[in-house]
Amino acid sequence: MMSYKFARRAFLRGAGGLAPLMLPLLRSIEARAAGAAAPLRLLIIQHPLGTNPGLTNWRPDASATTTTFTLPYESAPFAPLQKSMVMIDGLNLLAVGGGTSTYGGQNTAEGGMVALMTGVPTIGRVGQQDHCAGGPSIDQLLLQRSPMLGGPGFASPTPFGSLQLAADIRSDRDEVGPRVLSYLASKAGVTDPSLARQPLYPETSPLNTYNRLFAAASPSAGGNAGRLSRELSALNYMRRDLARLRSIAPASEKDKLDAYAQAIVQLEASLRAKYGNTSGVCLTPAVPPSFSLVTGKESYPGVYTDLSGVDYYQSGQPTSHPHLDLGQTQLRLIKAAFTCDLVRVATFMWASGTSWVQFPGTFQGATVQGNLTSAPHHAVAQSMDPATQGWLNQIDQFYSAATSTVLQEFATTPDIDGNMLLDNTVIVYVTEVARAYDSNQQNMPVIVFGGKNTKLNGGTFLKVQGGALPTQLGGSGNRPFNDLWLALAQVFGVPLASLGDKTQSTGPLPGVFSAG
Amino acid sequence: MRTYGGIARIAAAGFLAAACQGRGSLGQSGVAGTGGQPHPGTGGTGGTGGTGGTGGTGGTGGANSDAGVGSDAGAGRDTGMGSDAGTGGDAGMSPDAGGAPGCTPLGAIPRRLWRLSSEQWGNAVQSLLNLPSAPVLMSRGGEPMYAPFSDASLAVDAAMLYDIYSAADGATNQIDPMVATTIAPCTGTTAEAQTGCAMSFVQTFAGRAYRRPITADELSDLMTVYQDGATASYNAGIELVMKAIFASPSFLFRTELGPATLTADANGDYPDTTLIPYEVASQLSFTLLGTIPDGPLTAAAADGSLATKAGIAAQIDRLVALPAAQAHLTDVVLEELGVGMLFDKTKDPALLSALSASASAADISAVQSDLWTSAQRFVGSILWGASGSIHDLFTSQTVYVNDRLAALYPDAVVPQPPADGATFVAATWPASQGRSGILTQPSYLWALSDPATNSIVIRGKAIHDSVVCQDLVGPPIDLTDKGTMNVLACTSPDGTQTLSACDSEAQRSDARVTFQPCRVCHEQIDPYARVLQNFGPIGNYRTLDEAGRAIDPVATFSSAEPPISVAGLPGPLSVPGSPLAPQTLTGAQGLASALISTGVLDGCAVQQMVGNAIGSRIWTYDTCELGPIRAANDGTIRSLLVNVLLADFMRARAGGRQ
Repeated sequence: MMSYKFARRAFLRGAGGLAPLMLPLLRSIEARAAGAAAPLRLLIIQHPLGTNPGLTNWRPDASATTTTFTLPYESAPFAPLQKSMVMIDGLNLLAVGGGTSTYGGQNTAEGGMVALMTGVPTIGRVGQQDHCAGGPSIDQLLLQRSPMLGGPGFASPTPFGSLQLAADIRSDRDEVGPRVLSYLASKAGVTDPSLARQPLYPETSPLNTYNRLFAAASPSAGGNAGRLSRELSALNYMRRDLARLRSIAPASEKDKLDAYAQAIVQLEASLRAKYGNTSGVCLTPAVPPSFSLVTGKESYPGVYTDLSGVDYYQSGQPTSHPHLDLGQTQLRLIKAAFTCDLVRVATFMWASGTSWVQFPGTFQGATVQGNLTSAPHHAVAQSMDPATQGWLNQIDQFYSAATSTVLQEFATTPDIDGNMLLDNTVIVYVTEVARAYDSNQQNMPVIVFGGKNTKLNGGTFLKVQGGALPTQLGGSGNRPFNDLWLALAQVFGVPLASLGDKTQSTGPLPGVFSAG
Repeated sequence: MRTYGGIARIAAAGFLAAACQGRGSLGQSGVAGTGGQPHPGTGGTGGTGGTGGTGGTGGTGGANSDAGVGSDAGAGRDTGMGSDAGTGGDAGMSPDAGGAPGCTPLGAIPRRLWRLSSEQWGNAVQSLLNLPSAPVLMSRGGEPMYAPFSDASLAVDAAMLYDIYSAADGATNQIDPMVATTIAPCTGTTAEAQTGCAMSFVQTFAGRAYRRPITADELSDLMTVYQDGATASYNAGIELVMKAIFASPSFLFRTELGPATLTADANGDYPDTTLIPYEVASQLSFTLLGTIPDGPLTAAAADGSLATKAGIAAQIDRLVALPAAQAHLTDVVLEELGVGMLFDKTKDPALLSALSASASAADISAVQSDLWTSAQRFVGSILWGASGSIHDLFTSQTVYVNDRLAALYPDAVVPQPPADGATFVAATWPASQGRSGILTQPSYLWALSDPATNSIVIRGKAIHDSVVCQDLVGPPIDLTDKGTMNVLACTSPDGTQTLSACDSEAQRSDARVTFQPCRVCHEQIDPYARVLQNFGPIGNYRTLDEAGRAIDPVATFSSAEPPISVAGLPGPLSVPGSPLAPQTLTGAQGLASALISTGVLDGCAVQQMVGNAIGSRIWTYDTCELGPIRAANDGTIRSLLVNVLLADFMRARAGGRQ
């Protein structure tokens, strides 16, 4: 029988020009040959501006039971994944203020984003709505503490730690709060909240993401091994320079230097991927297109954004949908990064909580009031006009469909242990308000996806009951949203009894994951 | 000098309170703040539907300012636009004439590491390698695309460092043919000889890159990099050193730490200090040229002359005379005013019919480039010409045109027709058009208009924010709210009263300034643009508007009003008046004259330039430290730059903790 090594070389020769495409499969074969277990991953996906007009179009109706339920219009695209999902109803998002502002942005998209992802009191506010995160986001908290997620504090960290990607980041007044999901812990001893928070700004260019994670080198004189050695020499110098600066900089600047240190770690991983031994490199997905930023410096009465992005469609190109393409490309890059174990933690934002993504005035059959040619999402999201509500329903459904398409690929992409990627990945689909028209944050729309190794109780409609918080429509009481994060933490081996202010959590939410 | 209170953007206690991380260029509003005028901030959220939650708490008022008022509980719907309209302001300061009594202190700038902006990084690399153009970074580490200055709170994230390293790789590849001949010249062929060449090169190059002499340890470490790179070739060694430098923190961050001998006390506190001469050199160079110090500036740091104000002033005068500084500052001024937006604005081809029957995208792109050059020539000729007067920027009757622009703006009187697209000549507007400086330059108006029509809102807001330095207007409203839709259709909010046919920008503006919920903001914004109505979406002169009506470019600037309640908005809201109030102005010249005579133009210029120089926008007009600068400012660009850069607070730094 052919030795495995010989079979590998023959396999690649046989694949010829398709060799690179076969590498992820090869890696999987290798892993199975080695009996490797796949790591667990965490992906948090945000879609903007909740549901419309209330939750009627999102959650199953009153006839639903825990195991028998029909997803209504806005969540229906997730039906193919129903066996691998838990839809949760009855969690309230609590935005608690602190620091320089006792107001945490309750019932706002901006405060909601920060409260959703960090679960702790804010440390202040900049201007009108820019609530400043008071702690790490749940993904970063788990990355730092979980022994499973390849964080920098553990043996065998993943090359890139975590990914923060987005399809669009335009936000009102360019505020940071609505356009960031991930945060490091806020800086201790810094009183200015805008300086204390540590946002991890998402990357909006799939090509940049691809180049950093997957770019392959062309052959160079002396071979790649020599090249890698030389590049690492430069990085060693950069580290020594960093150490010199650390010795003279005040404590207030420490976090800038920490961020730089992390950046060198990832640069090294990129260079190793580029110049290192190709048999150890996991493959590259297809090179993504370059998306032209077609907007910049927009305003409508009373509000502006100077950030750039791409809209649902481009003027004169009705069949081109860059927002959709860009978002799905980013999700697929995360999928590839997970498969290649470059990261195990990622967040993805479809658009900021005050989204400026323009959708056509008539979208998927619904027309926004006023016969507008197009409208930015957030600008009209508070409308109670029935026609506009119908238009907003279509946008919500669009995000569900766009996300579901890629999540179904997670369910059919082989992982290194022979299972499918979804079997080893927990995906949480969230939004920063429950109802767009009034930004109410009770009964937050949230779905958790995961396959067999995640211990998720798939196929469940979980109606939370018995909590002490008010509910939107009566009932027997809601629980704080953080209780979901506490349950999630257990899956990743991080025992968290509480999170945030005493009002913000009561304990891990049962029923999402099976015990043990 | 007229002063006016505004909503303070910086809390008295914290210097950088308003600097929003990654957003310094636009100076996100600081903590709801101190201000002389009533704060339009309103109380907290209304209750959620169904349960009738408690209303929010308004902020406490202070002397001479009105308190924010808590809103009522919502009736099944949050009366905020999905967002809280903010708590009431903190204790206000009384609006005073002059800066001293009641002014808001800036607060000490801390010792810090100030990351180069993406543009500064590219410029510095270009300077060091003598490249024809600066490398462009795509990943900006949280820095916005149109930042006129680099925000001092930014760090380097992984994506940016990767981009930097890649761009450095590209830049060093580009100069590879010149390494051994020009950049790090070496005729030696032995390893020993080449090492000697490399050491000499590294000592000089790293010193320039780091804006200070390097230490023996740094030289040793960099030579290790050279040796590792030289295993491939001499060029590879030199290029590897350059790449390491370009991506190293000593290059990426400007230090503002004071002397290296500064030590913390037993409690871990550093004493307050001032910038060392090399740091002053960096400050001058990056502010005035956007790149690393040149030889004479570095020499002035080395010989101690930058330790004196006379020495600093001499260098400012020398630098400002350099074409590179003038070009950089010209672009800074244009970006601050918003002219850079012209590249984002396409136009209705019909407006370009003077160029061709069917103007193409290429035509529009060519015109955009022409207009940018025209704007640069305009600003440059005034600021760096005989007058140097910022006032002249707002009154000059000159416009620079090439053949395309001469065809597009045939009214501009040229001494002789420009020969081609590359030749720009100074033309003069006809006096009858009432043009006035940058406000009526085609580049400015193109940038601040829609594709086929004027935009009173965009123009008004640009002037309100960047020429007058007024505070940002109130909370956003729902465009599809029924009342708002009615006002947008030029009827009363309840739809019962029709104001006009609503077929022009002027009529739409009339409705906005007449009816709430639009009036509260648009009364503050629209007047600045109403006086520019004679100038169309590409800056073309017109006497009839788009509906064929005669244009009457008159606007009334109103004083502050008492708090008002606006249906659909948590209130009551206050309406701070314009600093030009109370008066009625006609045309661009009327506006420009008022901006100059009230001192508003100069006052705003000081505010903008200081913010640029310290890396954080300043929003409080009555900031104590700005008073002496304004008093000494004579309205010229030289005076502005010298007085800003010589101010003591520019070099003072608070110690910080170990």
